[in-house]
Amino acid sequence: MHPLPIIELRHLSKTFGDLHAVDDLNLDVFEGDIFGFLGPNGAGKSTTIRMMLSLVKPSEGLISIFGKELNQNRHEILQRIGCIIEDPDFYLYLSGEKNLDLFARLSGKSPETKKIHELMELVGLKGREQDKVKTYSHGMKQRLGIAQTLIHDPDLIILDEPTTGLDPQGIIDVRNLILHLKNDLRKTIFLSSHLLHEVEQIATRMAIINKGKAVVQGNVSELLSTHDLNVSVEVDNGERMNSLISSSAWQHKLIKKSGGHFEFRISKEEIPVLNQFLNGAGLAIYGTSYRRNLEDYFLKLTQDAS
Amino acid sequence: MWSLVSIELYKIIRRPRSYIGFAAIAAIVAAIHLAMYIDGPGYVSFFIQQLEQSFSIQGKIINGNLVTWLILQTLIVQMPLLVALVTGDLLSGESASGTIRLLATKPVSRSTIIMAKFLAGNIYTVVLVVWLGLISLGVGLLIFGNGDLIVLNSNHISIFRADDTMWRFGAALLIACLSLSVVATFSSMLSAYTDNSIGPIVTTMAVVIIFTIIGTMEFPLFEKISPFPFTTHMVIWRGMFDDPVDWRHVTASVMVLIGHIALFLGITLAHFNRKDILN
Repeated sequence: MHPLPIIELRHLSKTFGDLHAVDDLNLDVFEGDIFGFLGPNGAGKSTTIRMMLSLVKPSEGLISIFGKELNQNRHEILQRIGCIIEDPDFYLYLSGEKNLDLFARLSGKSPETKKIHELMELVGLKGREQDKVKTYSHGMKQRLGIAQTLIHDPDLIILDEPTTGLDPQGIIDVRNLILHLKNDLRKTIFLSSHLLHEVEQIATRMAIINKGKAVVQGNVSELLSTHDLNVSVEVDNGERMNSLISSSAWQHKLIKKSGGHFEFRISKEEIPVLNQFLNGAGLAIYGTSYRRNLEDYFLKLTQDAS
Repeated sequence: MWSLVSIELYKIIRRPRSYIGFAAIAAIVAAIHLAMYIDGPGYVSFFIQQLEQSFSIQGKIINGNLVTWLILQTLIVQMPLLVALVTGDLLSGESASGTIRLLATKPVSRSTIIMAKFLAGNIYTVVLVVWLGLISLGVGLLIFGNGDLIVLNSNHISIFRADDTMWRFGAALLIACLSLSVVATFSSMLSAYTDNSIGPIVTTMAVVIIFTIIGTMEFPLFEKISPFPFTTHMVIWRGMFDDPVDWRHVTASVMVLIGHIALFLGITLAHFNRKDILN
């Protein structure tokens, strides 16, 4: 049984002239989720997020956050949300510390300098607190953006492409930070990203939207288990394996081969059948691994939708 | 609200462009003080030579009061640009930098954001006018001393005793604050419609110049239009140096200026509250 939904979108639509940016979107995000929000460019992700943050007014539909209708309870709801929307923009002529102080005060909090410094250390900006933001790199601004989402201790954190511009270590840091926020601080995270492997690694639930409509949503592991997998098999004798596969029905499911490594696209249920077939032919299997590649899944769904 | 106003003021204080107005006023006032100190007697005698044919003028004509009056005459035309430099950027600057997104996702209403910016912009305007008053009158009195003020208008001369000038300058600067508040509100309104700062600043100046010209030229068509624009009523501060002051006329102009502020603020609130923030 799921906990209470933190975000409920019901029949949400937004049109700009003739363009249906978001079209009858229904979405549920539950307490404690890391909710991955996926979609190709122009799918309506940013418009949806902007409607959830009252930057854009919906043409139709209902947005309920923390069990309350957004339009009627805007002040109360926004007090409990921290967000990054696309680029992390700040007052360039002010220091990182002062920016955080201003945005905290706008959220009704007056944080101590110590807390601001702790947050800046958490996102890897220790020692740059007093520097003007105009001297920060894009990655540093992104980190400051994440600190800004946390400065008023919100319950729900909305992150729109939070790893854009970060180096590989920065991406890992942000991923770990998101997991820390969920696991240790019990925050709910709404994560919009085009980095599909990021979502795959950390999200508990996800939705994919295309052309403003939700193509699919649900538990990440359940969604991924219902589709074909990329299964890699390593055997002792590649040549024998090759001739064996070529003369069997498995040849139609073989997608890649290299030496003793073979990759098949098959369902989870077919893995033991394949193993049995190879064992029966006297091949020694060194290893079998499978991976549901979210990117394949994502591309398949968005292509189907188009 | 006051917390938000203090944040807006802090942002104004920390921006270099906010000091252009103060520097420009200081430079112009210093230049006029210097010029009056060196060439003042010749300059003034040129204007009063006809007067001296009929009257005997005695005493210290060039004094701090006269110099201040001359400075106000000169600077009041430039002040809208100096105000618009800051107020024309209040909303569009946030849009251009992207900070409007963060600002509008905080638990403050959009009306509060507008009102805070309106108040901060007006406080800036008042401080700018106070600065003008302080350095023109304060420094003027220090350099040139006190004395009676002779004001040459187009069809009459007014002479005010030295002890009758201070309240007139105070009232004139108060009206200047109100006039410039209209400019501040107008440029802020334009700033709500665009994502760049140059547009509102240039448009504000264009409007001020166009309607000032219309108000100055004595064509019958222009005379029908001129009672309506705020620019016509911005010069009402000069009414404080009429003897006696035509309070009915001054009050009517003040009401027109307040009406313009209410109109521009109302339009800004209505637009910004409905606006989708997409940038």
